[in-house]
Amino acid sequence: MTKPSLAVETLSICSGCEIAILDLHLALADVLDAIDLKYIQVLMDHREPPKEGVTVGFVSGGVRNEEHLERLKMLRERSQILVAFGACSAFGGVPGLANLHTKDEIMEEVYINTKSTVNPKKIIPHKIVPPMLEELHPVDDFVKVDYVLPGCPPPPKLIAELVTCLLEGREFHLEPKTVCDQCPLIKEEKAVTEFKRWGTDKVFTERCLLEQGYQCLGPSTQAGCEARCPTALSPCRGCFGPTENVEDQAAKMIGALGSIVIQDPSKAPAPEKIVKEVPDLVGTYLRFTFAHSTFKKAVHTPTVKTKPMEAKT
Amino acid sequence: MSSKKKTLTIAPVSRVEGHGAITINIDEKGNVAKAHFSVMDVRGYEKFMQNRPVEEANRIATRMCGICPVSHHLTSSKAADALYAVDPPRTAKLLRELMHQNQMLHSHVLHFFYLAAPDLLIPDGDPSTRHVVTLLKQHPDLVKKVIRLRQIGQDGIKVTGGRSIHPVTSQAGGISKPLSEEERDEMLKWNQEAYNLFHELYPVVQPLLSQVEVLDELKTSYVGLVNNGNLEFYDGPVRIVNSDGKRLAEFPIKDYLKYIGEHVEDYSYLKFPFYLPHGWPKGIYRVGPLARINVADKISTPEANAELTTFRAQFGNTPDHTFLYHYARMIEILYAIERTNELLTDPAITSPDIMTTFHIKGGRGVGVLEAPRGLLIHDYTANPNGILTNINLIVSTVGNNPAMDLGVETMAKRLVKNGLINQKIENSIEMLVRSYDPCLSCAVHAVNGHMAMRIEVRNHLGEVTQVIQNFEE
Repeated sequence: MTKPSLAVETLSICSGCEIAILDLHLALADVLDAIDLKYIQVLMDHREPPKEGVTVGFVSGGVRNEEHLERLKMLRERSQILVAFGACSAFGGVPGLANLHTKDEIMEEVYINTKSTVNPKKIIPHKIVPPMLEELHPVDDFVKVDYVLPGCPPPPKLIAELVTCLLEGREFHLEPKTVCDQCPLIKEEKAVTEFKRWGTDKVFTERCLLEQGYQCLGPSTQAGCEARCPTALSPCRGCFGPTENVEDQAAKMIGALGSIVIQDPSKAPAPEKIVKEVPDLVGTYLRFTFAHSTFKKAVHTPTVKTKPMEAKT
Repeated sequence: MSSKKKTLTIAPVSRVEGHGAITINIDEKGNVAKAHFSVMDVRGYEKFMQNRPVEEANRIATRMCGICPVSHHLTSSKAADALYAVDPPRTAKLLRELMHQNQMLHSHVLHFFYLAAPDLLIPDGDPSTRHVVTLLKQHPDLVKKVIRLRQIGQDGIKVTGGRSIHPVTSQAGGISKPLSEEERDEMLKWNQEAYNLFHELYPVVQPLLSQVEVLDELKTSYVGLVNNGNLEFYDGPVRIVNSDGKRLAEFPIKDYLKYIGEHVEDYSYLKFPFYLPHGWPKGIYRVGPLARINVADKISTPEANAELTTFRAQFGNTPDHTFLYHYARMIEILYAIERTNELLTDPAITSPDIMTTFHIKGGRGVGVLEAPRGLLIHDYTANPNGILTNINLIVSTVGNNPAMDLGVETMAKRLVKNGLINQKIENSIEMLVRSYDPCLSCAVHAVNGHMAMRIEVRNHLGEVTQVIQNFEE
């Protein structure tokens, strides 16, 4: 019997997903015994996945330029099963926040406006380098995805579970739970009347961070990380994305806040007060999923210069 | 031999990875006219971190790099400390540095043993099998030690940072999680194991570290942090020395804009930093392990300092050999292990006093750190509500971009004759770029003994006349 084969492709990445694979440490040797690794740039020299015989393709990173798009399509064509590996591939990840700006605004900031830049001729790189797309895209904007392995990056334990499922021909599913369900911090079902910025007040070490008035995305975030951030007394920022069948992580979170804030309607704070206490709604509720949310990008209205109307005589 | 001008494009992963390419222009006589190194991706953190709260930046900036996320996590925290004018308790600073020393161990082991060592241990091996997986089969005992050594670094980050990759505990004003006595004791055991593993591995590779003739010398200035003249990773003034070791400047990080500028070229998404008073391109400098060793007078821990003394006896005080980046990296691993022991045996390390709360305000704050690949700067400006309005980042790998660009040209001019390039020349150019451990290559080459490369020879009309590649399609 031939072993199933694996090909791994990387797009616009920070390399954290690839390090997460290496963080299987010695267990990686066992994985390499069980699976025929055909292509992974961090390990091998081949430039692209083999034309035939790829059982599973992993793709990490979002699609930021034209080359990324070509390579994504190539992997899809050649793989029986495609896994969106990590938050960027699945939801756009943190670099998806770039979609709040146009490509030209980004280029101008990086190459002209930044303080230490000395660029009197206002050169924007354009030779040799591949053209950028207008926005950063999660991979399912372009291709069908069979499985999503979320996380920034996915924990090595889940990577091993996914590989085991694929080897045994089983379906891979994350438990239908949220980060709160796995969190060891104690909830007292207390109403929150005020939200605080992280670091501006004392933190009680065994109590739910959200109930202490700190933004924590546990209620709107898919479980699978074993609540690794709240366990280290840092709030969840949502890197596993929304739970299954939820389209928009922010909508889910705002819904969850409703029940946390309004327990006694007579004492509930005004919505305007809450909005003021959360100064960055997109970066707080959609930090990893903006490019995959209801909005996906900011709408940029072109500035239209109008002439003052002349009075009719 | 054609008498026409042509261009050789060595695209190490440019079409594979989208990150790097080398272009060599050949003149009518078949000599190298110029050569460039290009970086192929830009994500725009300086723009999209705008409008985010200052205290959240350290959990966004980590995503610039999954190899050394601790660097961005901590540099961002330090910039936020400065902006909010908050001084973290001593224990918080110790814990942050402890997290960072563990990262140095992980990152340097990854680079040297997984990436560079295959070139050095099997120099004439078949490129398609010259990588760590082959080494694992050929030398399982040796490679298992390497894997364990890197694991100790990653596990240390997990204990202090909450997670190995993209840690979360550091925050403006301190750190969120204290170190328990049990955790401290466990980490002390790991660190003793790391020390033993290092001394088992070092004698194997030490004889390979002096082959300076493999790569060209490059005379540049050097930039790095020092602490009372000692090698420093976490905090201190920035020192700049020229290639003779003469001190050009020493300044607190808040003044960096007087000393460092960034030039832009049209052929790379990466900018080109330089020492501002000398102008571009005269002000080219280097960062990272060799630069740090070259700016330091000495090392504060005894064994690493003894290695430095041996190193200087052989190569002088400010050597310019690019190959010595590897040697410097090994000395730094030893320092990181010794320094980790100092931090863990400090009685304050398990104190629960780890956070100073602060009030939201506006202003400017600059943070600095020595990331594994060199000096890292985060410069933030915020409005009175603590919302970022301006961000300037000088990321470690960028510091060596001019040197990689110039190094590629120097090497191409020396090796490419009559417009011809071969496998050996490709290898030399790869090794030059790799010696700097550039982060753009981390993804691709972290564990790769050899880059996938495609060279297209073009005539003056831009038509491809010859293709050489080192992989199967």
